Amino acid sequence: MNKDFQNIDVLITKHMDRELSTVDWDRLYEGIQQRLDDVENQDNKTSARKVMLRWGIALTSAAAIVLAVFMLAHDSEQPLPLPPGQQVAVKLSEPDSVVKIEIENPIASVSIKLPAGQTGVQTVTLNAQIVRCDVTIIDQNGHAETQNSPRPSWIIIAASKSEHIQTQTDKDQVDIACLL
Amino acid sequence: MKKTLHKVDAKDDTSTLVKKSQEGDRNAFNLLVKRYQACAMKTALRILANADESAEAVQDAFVTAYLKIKKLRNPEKFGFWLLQIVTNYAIRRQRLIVKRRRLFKNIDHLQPAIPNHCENTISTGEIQSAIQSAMSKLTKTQIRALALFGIEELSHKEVADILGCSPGAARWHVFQARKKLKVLLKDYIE
Repeated sequence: MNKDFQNIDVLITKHMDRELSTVDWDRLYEGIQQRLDDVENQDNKTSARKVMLRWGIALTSAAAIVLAVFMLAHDSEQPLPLPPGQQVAVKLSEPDSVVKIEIENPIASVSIKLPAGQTGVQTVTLNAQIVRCDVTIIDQNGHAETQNSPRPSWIIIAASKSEHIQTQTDKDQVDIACLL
Repeated sequence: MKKTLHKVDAKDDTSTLVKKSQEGDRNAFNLLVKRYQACAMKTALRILANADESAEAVQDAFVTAYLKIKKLRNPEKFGFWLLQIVTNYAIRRQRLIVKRRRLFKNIDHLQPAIPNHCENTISTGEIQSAIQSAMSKLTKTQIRALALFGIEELSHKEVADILGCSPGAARWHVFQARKKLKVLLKDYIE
């Protein structure tokens, strides 16, 4: 072997031996034990946390299910805000092309947008219940509105059928627009 | 890993201890630590040239070995596997030392110079720094090869196995490493 190469090995080995002589082997062993204990404790803590997290998820899910069932049962017990056949007279609050109507009666208060001059079957939400109504727009003299009649100021809403909200999409569609 | 109550004998061979460790026997692993800590320390020291840094690398290596021992397929190769882990941690730590030193060098420029009263003698710290910086100029494979070739307990064939190459290639890496060190450490070679 090249003499320089030997010298490099000697330099490194000498230095290594010098450093090795300073090593406290018991302390090193204790250090390793300490680190291993820490790892084991960490593992145990992580396992405990996982178990607690699983329990938390299970309890929350159960609570959510119970709440949903309770709300459905509670909703179904509520009387219809607008019984079938009953008519409610509604005053138009804005004489715009798209008018805002406010229903005011003892059991419901709601705002819907209704294109002026349109009648027919309307779906509105009263007290979180979807109610399909027959809407008749009348003029100030109490006659049904025609294309040429003056701006109406009153409409009549008569509930014909009630439907519970089945899906969020259905609810959104109903809440956003009243489709004739 | 759970502590179990296997009977562990200090005379058990490495394979048996590894198998027991894989079953979760901490006492068996402790015996492996006792058996291999010196070899691991020597390997780390050849790379890091510092006892404290090497001890840290060795501790990291044993923790990793403990966590991954179940994945070791050949229990009889535990020693080689451990030394691979040790060299990985030592190299990682060595890169950190070099970075740290560069940072402190920049700070040192701001400090007043301390007069050197023994200019003719080279201190241990100086040699240590020189070896560390020289090692940082080598490739990872060269560092591994050089460190493992210096461990008397390992044959060239075993070093080649750890490096994952042929004995000829392992010798070539050592040759290249020494060639670089010859230049880098010329001021320290007698």
